[in-house]
Amino acid sequence: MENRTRFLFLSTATLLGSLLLLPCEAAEPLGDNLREELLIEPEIARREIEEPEIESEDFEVGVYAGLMTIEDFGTSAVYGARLAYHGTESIFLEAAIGTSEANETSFELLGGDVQLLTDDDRKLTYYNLSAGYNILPGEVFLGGKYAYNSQFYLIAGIGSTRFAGDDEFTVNLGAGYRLLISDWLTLHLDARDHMFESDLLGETKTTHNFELHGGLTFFF
Amino acid sequence: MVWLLPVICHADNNYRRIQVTAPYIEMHTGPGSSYPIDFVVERGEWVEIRKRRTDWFQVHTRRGRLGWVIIDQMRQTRTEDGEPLRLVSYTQDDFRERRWEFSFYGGEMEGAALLGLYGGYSFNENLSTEISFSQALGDFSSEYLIDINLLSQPFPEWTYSPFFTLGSGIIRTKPNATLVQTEDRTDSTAHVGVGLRVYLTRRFFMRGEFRHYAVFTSRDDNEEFDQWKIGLGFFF
Repeated sequence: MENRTRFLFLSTATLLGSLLLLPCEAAEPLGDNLREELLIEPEIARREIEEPEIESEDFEVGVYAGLMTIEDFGTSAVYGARLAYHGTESIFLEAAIGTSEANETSFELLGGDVQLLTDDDRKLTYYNLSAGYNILPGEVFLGGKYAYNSQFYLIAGIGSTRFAGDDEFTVNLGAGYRLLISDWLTLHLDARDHMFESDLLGETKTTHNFELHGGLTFFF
Repeated sequence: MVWLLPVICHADNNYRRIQVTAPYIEMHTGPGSSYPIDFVVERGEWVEIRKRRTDWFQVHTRRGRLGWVIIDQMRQTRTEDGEPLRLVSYTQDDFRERRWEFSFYGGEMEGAALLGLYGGYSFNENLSTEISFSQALGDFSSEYLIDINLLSQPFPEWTYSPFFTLGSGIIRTKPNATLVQTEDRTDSTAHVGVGLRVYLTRRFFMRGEFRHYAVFTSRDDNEEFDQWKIGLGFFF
């Protein structure tokens, strides 16, 4: 047993010693000249490759135009601009600003000279911050040759509407359709309900102001 | 026409070229997992990366096909100097090391609905500065706030990470038009706050916050009010 222990100890010690000495021993027998001969200097310089950055296109910016129905004040044209950030393939955040102008109410039309609002107060401006979710991705075929990607999305958010001299907290809810004409150019169709409280016609009520617009956006 | 050639060649070389090391990678028709796969690129083939959208990469094969490949498969490729292609996806670790963040929020301030947005810059994991624009829409007036604040986050490694904030700004009060005409006024403010930031996924996070404001008015008494808000943001 003692022999065995001694053997194990010695062999471990030898092994460790040889491992530690190995680099020196290996280098020892070679003279300086020989070593130079054996060393082959690589003649090829490492290629310097400048790799271009991969361009990221997660932002989408664009303009839109359409129709907006302002409750009690008829339907008129609406114009706006939007900026969106796509965080994942499904989720995006959007900031939008739009403007429209109210027509006359039926009361004003029938009443002749009656004016509920001044011209300045007829202007409606809204901004909103919304989150969208892409569902139902698809492809649209035009003839036998062309195919375009498309997406349907649901969108909801909060914002503010300035109308008749007041700023009103506004909730918007809607859905849209995005048609990708090319990798960076997109066609939008969007339907939105802007809901805010209004006391313009006496009592306070929640007004629903529907907007339907088409737009063009660019990814960058 | 010949003089155009170098320009065109140069343009072609402007994309990063990679070689597939996986048995194959799949090309989708669009940048999303629901778009169908209509092509595969086999091991050893070279492709060019045209652009990135979220976690999808548009690649161009030598035969002129275009398609979108997901980041996990893009990592199974190597670059021209033989190194594996390293791509950043956004994880909780990246969230800790973020430089910029943007968010919008909704909330409540003295019974009025509050909404706004802010942008922030992080000096390090614990300290950042922010500028925010808010609007509070009350029954009798609208208030506009611009604030600049410093924010300290003592435990950035926590998924639910609390923070403390201190700042100052201005508040502009605009009475509603349907009321008796009173004047707009602008005052300076100071605030302290406490909140919670939660990493959601990819580049998104959520944040809830409570702030207590003091308004330095020209009248005898200083006003004080509370503000609650919750928001959704992204970082990069």
